[in-house]
Order: sequence, then structure tokens, then C-alpha cells
Amino acid sequence: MNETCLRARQGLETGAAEDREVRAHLAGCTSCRAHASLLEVLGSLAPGEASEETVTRIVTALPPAPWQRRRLATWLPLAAGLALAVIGLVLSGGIPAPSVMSSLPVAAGGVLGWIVSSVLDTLAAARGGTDAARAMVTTGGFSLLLWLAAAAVGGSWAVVALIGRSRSGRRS
Amino acid sequence: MTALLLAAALAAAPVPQVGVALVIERPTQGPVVAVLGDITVSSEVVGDVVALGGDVELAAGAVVRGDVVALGGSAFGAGTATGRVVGLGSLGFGARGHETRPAGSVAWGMGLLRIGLWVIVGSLLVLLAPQAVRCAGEQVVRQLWQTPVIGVLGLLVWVVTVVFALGVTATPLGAGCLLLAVALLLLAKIVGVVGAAWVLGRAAVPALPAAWRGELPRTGLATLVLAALSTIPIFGSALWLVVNVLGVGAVVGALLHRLPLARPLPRLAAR
Repeated sequence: MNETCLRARQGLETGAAEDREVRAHLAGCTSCRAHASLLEVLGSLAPGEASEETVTRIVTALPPAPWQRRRLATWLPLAAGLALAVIGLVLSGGIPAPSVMSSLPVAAGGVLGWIVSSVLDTLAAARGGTDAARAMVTTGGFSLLLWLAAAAVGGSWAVVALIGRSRSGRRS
Repeated sequence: MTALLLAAALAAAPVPQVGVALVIERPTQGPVVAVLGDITVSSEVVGDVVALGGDVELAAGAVVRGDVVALGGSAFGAGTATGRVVGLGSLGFGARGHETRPAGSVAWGMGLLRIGLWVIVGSLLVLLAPQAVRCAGEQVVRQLWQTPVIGVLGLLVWVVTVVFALGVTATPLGAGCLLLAVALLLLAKIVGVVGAAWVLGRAAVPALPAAWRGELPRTGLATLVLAALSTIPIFGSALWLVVNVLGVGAVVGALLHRLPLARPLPRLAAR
């Protein structure tokens, strides 16, 4: 690519494609003609309008700007809230029913523990059921399991078919 | 000696059970605690009476020698209490009678505590989970008139779930469902109210000084204004109810809008 090519390409990019000098250069230079047609294609590609949903999704995913955290005004509502809460507690003479309120965190921990133990019990029961099924298979009870599975599948199919029939009957 | 005799005459407080309402009809030793259930007192209680997620009714003749607290409910009735009578965090509806409001400095203190807690929660929520708040806020902006309807329907579904859970509350599954339903409603209410404040703050940007136009300060300020307005006797209750329903609707609507599972629902409904 020589100096003339560079000048011609600059002319193309600045909108001087109809310039006589540029046109004359394009007539004799394959590379610059390819560049001109590429520019023409790029020029015809108008930027698509972003959908409102996409913009909202991107904007809502952004974290608070770091500069916001450095400003005093950002923390003023939080400080005001803390001050109001403290003044409120002082005015109302402290936390009401302190004996019960102080035991709330312990009670919440107890509830959480109960939920966790329930989940663990369920898992243990599922594992026990799996062990029992395995034991049945190893002791030759495979056919029984197969029958049970077939009965479950068949029963479900029958229920679905009955519901379907009643629906179609209602429609007709 | 008299104290010993009195203590011997008092019945022991009932053991708290999830979703079970308590009725105190004879002199009882406190504290009396109900979890997700109401308490009705028609006799004497020596100690505190606390309902977590329920109302406390002090019937005529009831005397509580201690504090009466309804956390997530209201305290009402003609009975008396020697300590403070406090109802905190009620959704704004469901009170069955004239609410007993605390008097004097206690009332002011409780009001300020409530406003302060809301501002703290709102600010922390915007700081730590801005996406949740923005999604709720965007839902309010997107469907301003439909969101309250979604909120009412969401609350209806919630009530049905709770009624169902109360029916089988004796089982661990029912109690778990009930606790989960209450936790979800509380979460939706908090995120929704802060989402509504986020919208209010964004709308107020032109009127705010430049330093207050950031997302965090303007939402915190709007939360403070909303919480402060809600303490006005009649207008405040109505406003808080609307904001809560709008908030719950915003959270439910935003979830339905984002969850891919919910997208086929309109098509299924159209069949």
C-alpha cells in the first residue's frame, strides 16, 4: 500500500468517494476497491435500536457506582436511620418485653436447626429406601420392583387418560 | 408470703406452638408467647405477653403486669397493661379492633424506632442487593396500575397457602410451610416497599440537590419520607397499606417477569 492508496482510503473514510482523484485511483487499485466496498457495506449497517428490556436488564445489574460510596451524602440516610432507632429506643425505655426479645435469636436458631434436622431426616429416609430397594434386588426381588414400577406407571397413565377423557367429554 | 401464694395460684404459660392461637382465661404466669398466632387475654397475666406474627387482644377485664408486644401485628382491646403496649411491623390490615396505641414518649419512641429501622433496612438493601430493589422498582414503573392488582392476587395466594398450612400445621411439613410463607411475605414486603421508595426517589431527582441524587441517598431519603408519612394516624395507615400491596405486587410481578418458568403460563391459560 503506497502513499496514493493511503490518501484514497482517507478520502473514502471522510466521505470523498465521489472525488475525481479517488475514483481514478479506485479504477486501477483492486485493494482499495475492496476497501471501498467494505466501507460501503459497513455504512449500510445501521446500528439496531436496543430493546427497552435489554437496557433495563443491563442497567439493573450494575452495582452502585464506586464514587457514590465515597460521598458523605450516601451514608447520611443510614446514619439518620441509626440515630432515629437509637433515639426511639431511648424514648421508649429500651426494648419492650426484654426477657422474650432477648431469647428470640436463640429461638430462631432452634427453628433453623429443626428445619435442617427435618431435611436430614428426609435424606436419611430416602437413603434407607434406596438401600431397601437394593437389598430387594440382590435377594431376587427384582421382579417385585418391576411390578411396582409398572403399577405406578400404569396407574399414572390411567389417571391421565381418565382426566383426558372427562375433559374431552365435557368439551363435546 | 403473699407473693408465694399468688405464684402458686397462677397457671403456667402455655407452651408456644407455631400457628396456634392462645386464649388466656385464668390468672397466668408470664411470659405468654405465641408464634404466628393471636393471643386473647381476658384474665390476669403476671409477665410479658408477646405475639410474634399475630395480634394481641386485651379483652375487658384483662390485666397484664408487664409489656404487651405484637411483632408483625397489632395490640388492641379494653384491657390494661402496666407496661408498654406495642404493635410493630403490621402489614396494615387485619387488626380486629381499635388498636391500643402506646402513650407519650413510648409512642414517639416506637414511631422513631420504626422509621429508623426502615431507613436502615432500605439503605442496606440498596447497598447490598441493588438488583432486587431495582427490579421491583422497574416493575412498578412498567406496570403502575397492574402492579397493585398483582399484589392483591399475590396476597390472596399467600392467604390460601397459610390457611392450608394452618390446616396441617401439626405436621412438620405444615409448620415448615407456614414459616416459609411468612418469611417469604416478609421478604417480599421489605424488598417491595424499598422498591416503591426507589421509584419515589427516582421521581424526586429533579427536585433534589446534586449530592442527594445518587441511588443510595435518594432511596434512603424516600424510605424515610414514606415511613414518616405512615405514622400519620389515618392517612398514614392507608398509605402504608397501598405501599405494601404495591410492593408485594412489584416483587411478584418482577419474579414472574424474570422467571422462565412463568413465561409459558399465559400461553397455557390461553388454551
